[in-house]
Amino acid sequence: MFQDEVVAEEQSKRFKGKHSLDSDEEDEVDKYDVLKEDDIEGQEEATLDFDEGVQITPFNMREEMEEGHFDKNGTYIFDKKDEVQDNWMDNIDWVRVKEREKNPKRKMDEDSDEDDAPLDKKHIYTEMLKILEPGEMVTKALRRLGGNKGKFQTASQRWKAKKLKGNKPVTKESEADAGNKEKLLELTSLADRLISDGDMEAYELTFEKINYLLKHKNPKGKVKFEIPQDADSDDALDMFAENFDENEKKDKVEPEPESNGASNGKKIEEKGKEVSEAAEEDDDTVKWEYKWENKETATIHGPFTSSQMLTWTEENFFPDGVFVRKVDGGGEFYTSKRIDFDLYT
Amino acid sequence: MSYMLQHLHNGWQVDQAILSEEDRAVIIRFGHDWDPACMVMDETLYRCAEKMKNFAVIYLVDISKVPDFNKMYELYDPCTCMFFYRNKHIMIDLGTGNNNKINWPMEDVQEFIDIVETVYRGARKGRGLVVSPKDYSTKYRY
Repeated sequence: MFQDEVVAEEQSKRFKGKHSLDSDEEDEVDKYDVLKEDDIEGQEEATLDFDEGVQITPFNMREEMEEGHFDKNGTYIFDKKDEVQDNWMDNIDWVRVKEREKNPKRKMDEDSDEDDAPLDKKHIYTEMLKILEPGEMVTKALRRLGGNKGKFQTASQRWKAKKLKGNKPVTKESEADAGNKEKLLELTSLADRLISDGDMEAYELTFEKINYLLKHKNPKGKVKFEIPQDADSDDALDMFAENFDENEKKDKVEPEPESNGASNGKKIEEKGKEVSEAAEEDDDTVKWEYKWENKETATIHGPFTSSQMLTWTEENFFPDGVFVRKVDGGGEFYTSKRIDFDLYT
Repeated sequence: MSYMLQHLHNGWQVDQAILSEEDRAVIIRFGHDWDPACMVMDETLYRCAEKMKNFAVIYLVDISKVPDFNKMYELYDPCTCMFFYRNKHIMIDLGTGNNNKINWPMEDVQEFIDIVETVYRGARKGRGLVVSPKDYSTKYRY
């Protein structure tokens, strides 16, 4: 009968939905009567702690009551104050953990490598440029600098080489070798730093691409800063339009003579390759024009870079979306809501 | 008409085509060459193949000769286009509710190129689902 009541009570609790089924919070203590310590009969005070080295456990519940309690039915219930600990937690050296918490500086130091990287990138690129030859990919350069030894494959060739070495001034060659090795290591470390910064294509960078990146680092940064200062109406955007036009012109004009200049001193085959590469780079930076209404007569604004469009959409300048199209394609206007400009940056 | 586009004649070839392409998106048209819907699509594909050759490659698969994928990809439409990049199926939010494939013939070359470009750019950035520039929910379908 009593049990029925308990069950009924429990069910009603369940349906009140105070806890989910799997919550094991122990605030149920107040729900049933806790047996007070005084109600336990026949307890005795502790007399001796030890009797000839044997521990004497006093005949009372004091120790148990520290860790739990009895309910009225006499069921012993552990207080769940101490969370269940995993074994591995015993092995933690908490002094050390606290030390670590105390100096967050250390953490900062670890992170700062990455934080500094954007600033360093320019430096990295310039260093890389010094090592790379025009038209060369990083991987190719690595092969050039380090792979020379692979050339002498057969024993006879090696033998020949040895002979040649004997005749030739040896010092010069080994010096060059050492220089190459240094360059190789430096280039690897530079590319590695780029990769750890998240630029997964660091090894595929070409001489021209790096040049291009260097040239374009600055104007892009400027553009980004210019937006928040004043841009609330269409007029403001129009104003930008002119600014950007100028910037864009600069951008567009610069890379071409530059890459042509680089290719001047090289073989014709490589030249063709480079031109296509330059074109690819131009493709990389997709430019957009937009209009507010999808009408023939609506004025077209632009061109703007993808990153520009991305920041605008992110800052919600186009709450209802605008109609955009790529500048080079001359295709249809699509609503900007469906375009992920992030893909084009 | 579609002589210039390469046909794949068995499941192994299809797998290899998807697997072996490292840097480009792989477009596979499942259907029948004689199907009018496919003819429209093939014409579109043929016309954009050259323009997209830098970032996409197109193959045609006859779903009667190569039925291996019919069940897996639910190829019940007369003409289906699917996109892959580095052995990964790329989904496109076309607004149609079916993000897995383009299951109607497209006529507009530029539109198709735009979709493929989005697929390619998205896939290169590691996206498994891209949003097509145009919403096709109303067109063709209902």
